Amino acid sequence: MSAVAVAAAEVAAAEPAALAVEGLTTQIRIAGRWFDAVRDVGFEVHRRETLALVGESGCGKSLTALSIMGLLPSGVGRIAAGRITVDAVDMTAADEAGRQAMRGDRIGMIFQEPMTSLNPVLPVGFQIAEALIEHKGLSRREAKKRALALMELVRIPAAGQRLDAYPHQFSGGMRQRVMIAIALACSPKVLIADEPTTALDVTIQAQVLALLADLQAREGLAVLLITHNLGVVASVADRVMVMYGGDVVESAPVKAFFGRPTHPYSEALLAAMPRVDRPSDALAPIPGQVPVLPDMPAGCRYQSRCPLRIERCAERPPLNPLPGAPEHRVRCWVRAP
Amino acid sequence: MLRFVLKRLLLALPTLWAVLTLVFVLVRIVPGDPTIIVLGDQASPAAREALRQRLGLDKPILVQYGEFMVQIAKGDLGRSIVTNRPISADVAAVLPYTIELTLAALLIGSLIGVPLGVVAAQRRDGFVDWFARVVSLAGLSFPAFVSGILLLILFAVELRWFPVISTVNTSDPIERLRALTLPAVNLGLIMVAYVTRVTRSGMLKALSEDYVRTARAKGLPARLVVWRHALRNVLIPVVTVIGLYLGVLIGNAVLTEIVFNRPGLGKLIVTALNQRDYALLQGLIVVTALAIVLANILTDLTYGLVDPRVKAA
Amino acid sequence: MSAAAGATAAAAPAPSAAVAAPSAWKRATRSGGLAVGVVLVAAMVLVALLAPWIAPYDPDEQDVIMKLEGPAAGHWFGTDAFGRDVLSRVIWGARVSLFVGSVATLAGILVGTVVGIVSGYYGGLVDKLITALTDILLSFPQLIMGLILVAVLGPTMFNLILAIAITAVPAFVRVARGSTLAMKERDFVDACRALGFSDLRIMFLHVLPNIMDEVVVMGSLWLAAAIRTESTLAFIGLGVPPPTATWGGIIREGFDNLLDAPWLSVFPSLAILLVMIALNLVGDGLRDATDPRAPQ
Repeated sequence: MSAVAVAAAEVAAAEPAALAVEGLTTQIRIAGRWFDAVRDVGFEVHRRETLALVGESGCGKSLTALSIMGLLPSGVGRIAAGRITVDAVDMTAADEAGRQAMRGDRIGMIFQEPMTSLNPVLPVGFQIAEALIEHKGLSRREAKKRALALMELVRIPAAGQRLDAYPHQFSGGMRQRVMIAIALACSPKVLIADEPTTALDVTIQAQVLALLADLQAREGLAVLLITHNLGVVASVADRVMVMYGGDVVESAPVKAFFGRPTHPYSEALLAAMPRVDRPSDALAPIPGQVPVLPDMPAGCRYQSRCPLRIERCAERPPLNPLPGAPEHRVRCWVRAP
Repeated sequence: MLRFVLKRLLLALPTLWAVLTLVFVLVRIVPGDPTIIVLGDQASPAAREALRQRLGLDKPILVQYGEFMVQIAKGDLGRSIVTNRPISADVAAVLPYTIELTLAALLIGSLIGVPLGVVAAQRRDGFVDWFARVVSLAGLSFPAFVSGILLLILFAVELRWFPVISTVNTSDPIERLRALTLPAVNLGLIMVAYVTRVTRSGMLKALSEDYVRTARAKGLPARLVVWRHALRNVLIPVVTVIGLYLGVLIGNAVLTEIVFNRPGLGKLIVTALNQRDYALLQGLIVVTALAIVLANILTDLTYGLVDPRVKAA
Repeated sequence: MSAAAGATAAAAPAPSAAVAAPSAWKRATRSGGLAVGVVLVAAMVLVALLAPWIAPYDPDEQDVIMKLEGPAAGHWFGTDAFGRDVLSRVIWGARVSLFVGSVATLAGILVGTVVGIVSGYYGGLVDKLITALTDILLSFPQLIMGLILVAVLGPTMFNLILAIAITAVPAFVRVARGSTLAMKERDFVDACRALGFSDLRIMFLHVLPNIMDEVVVMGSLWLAAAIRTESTLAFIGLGVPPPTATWGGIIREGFDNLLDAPWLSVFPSLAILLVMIALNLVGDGLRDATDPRAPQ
């Protein structure tokens, strides 16, 4: 993967990013009031590159993904500010029809729950073919043929016989392969994978991750990987972005991040991660809990759990680059003043 | 599929047996001497004895039970006490009218109830949703004879759009349809209420399911997401409700037939009650029971069509 | 701009009380249906109780000169074929419908709940038989069951109550049994057993209160169904025998004069509708109040 990373970095300057997010602020409604659940998030993902979005549940990483897809539940979530560009198309400026034309065609998404993400009453072959009929104007017959090829691509055994099978006849790992085939049906430029392996057994996890990496290399995909699993991040990501309480608190190339985690939250996350080179009793859970949105402190949102807290934390720190490492940026008054 | 059908039919046999036994017992716990009830207390002992023999009441109860079961197995419902005509012939003569009415109501219920429920769920708390709630409250509340009478007064007596008395034995299809409209609307209103309710709550649940999000992530237009992905899943509870309330529908068809003066099982039941024709009443109860058991079987078979998981089970 | 929005949101005081789930009472009153329903039902009960004092005429008093008169100042709801005052008959009819409906429903609840709890609590062969019988009885629409029973037993007020109660029993057996089974899985029943409580005490002091919510909700809906069945049977001619005024009976008599005296049928019909809607509003409101998951 690292060779790819170097290649990606080289192309980065020449080619516009496949996915660009600038100043994204997403709000959700709780008891009639709107709260910032994602604030001022910005990043770029280029072709052949994997950006991992890391954080605890509720940190805003899935909301970021849904904002990009334009799938925020209406009345509950809304984009308050920011610009999202997918394959040079401004998604935030587009109307619903425009976003709909992009979804499934130039940007695909895989969800966490393979058991519930497929429609139980439609054949899987048809569910894969649907996007092709919709976006590429293929006939049902052509789309079905293509669906078969896709099922073979994601290595579903005996794909020909299972084209007309229903989701309940598939295992969890196989269903996630079907989900990947659906997301990739129209050869998108960008793939968002929201915890794609969390619900799977460990051995299956590895298989699905390998498949994703393989497909990424083959199709030149830009991948936004959302996960809370730092092991997965270490093995597949090129860059890492850590989110806490809706804020990006640290953003770095993967090597720099694991070599020198700088934000106190990143440190705590890594300390809480089980590793083979450390005894398991050395695991340090992060004290306290993520505050619910209405109770978020002003300024740095991590201050309520942070051991390094100073007075200035009541003011929101900017995302500053570390000295000598412009790619490594941290939102902390203590570590990156 | 054939095996599934056969299995389901076999499973229905015990239910059928239990229902028939219940009917047999019920009709025989009539307080007092049935011959006096039928013939009146002025009847001579000889006439009463003759009737007793004709009805087979002189035989031991278990023999009566055996004969009752054998008869029904042969499709024979006995003879009317009053007219002495075979009951199965009387039933066969009016059954098409009741079936016609019930099917029309089912059709109205599904064609109006499903779209109404879908749109109500889609635009929650909007005008259509409010309308759907009023319609289902009305349909669930009104006894069929009350809504029937109100429809009759409004559309037949006051506005004169439809005939007051439904002439059904006409060869003119337009006339027949005109006669069917008000009764079918009356009965259909009940079905609309049930179907709207279950479709609405089913859609509210389905629209928040993960597979709907997947369908939207595919870039499908809202029309396909709602009508193909969400509704397909809601059809399962809708079919359940239709099957479950087919019995209620049959009960209300009886009332509708009385109000609109249509021939059918309903009028036959009233005739049987008025003439104290217990043989006819027993036959009609058996027919109704059969219809309800059949409706349950049909419901189960329909599951196989709307839910692929059923066939595998 | 986004930073400013974030700052205001974060700076605002935390409305933690508003974030908590609304109480059962709030959920119930949010739609307003429950309140309207309760007021309507209370008004109906009051009218029925006060019938002798508020009815303008004796409901059975005939007046051959004033036959089939339309609604007018002296007779707001008009008169019937015997010159009886329809308003007075409708008011007195409320007594029969509400009395038969509530006694039958209460009896059905009582028998059904006891049988259901005992059946679910002990299980075994008897439970299996009861369940099978319940399933069969439930597959029969209430109306047809009631019709058969009254036809067989004969139309008297007692038989009417008995028949309607019998139709209600299986539904409550099923609910009570189901809830009891669920309750048995919970630890506190084991705890009660460990404390040496008798089965009877566990069933009726510990299990029963826990299923009351559901029984009350179903009760209000079944009361509507019971009144519907009563008036329907009266309409078919199987109600409390004349000359007693019943809503279904008035409609039945009015039905013969539908063309020239529609008010005979309309006013009792409206009375029935009012009770039905009120009880359904109460039932739905109670269900929303006790089950936060139920769709609104």
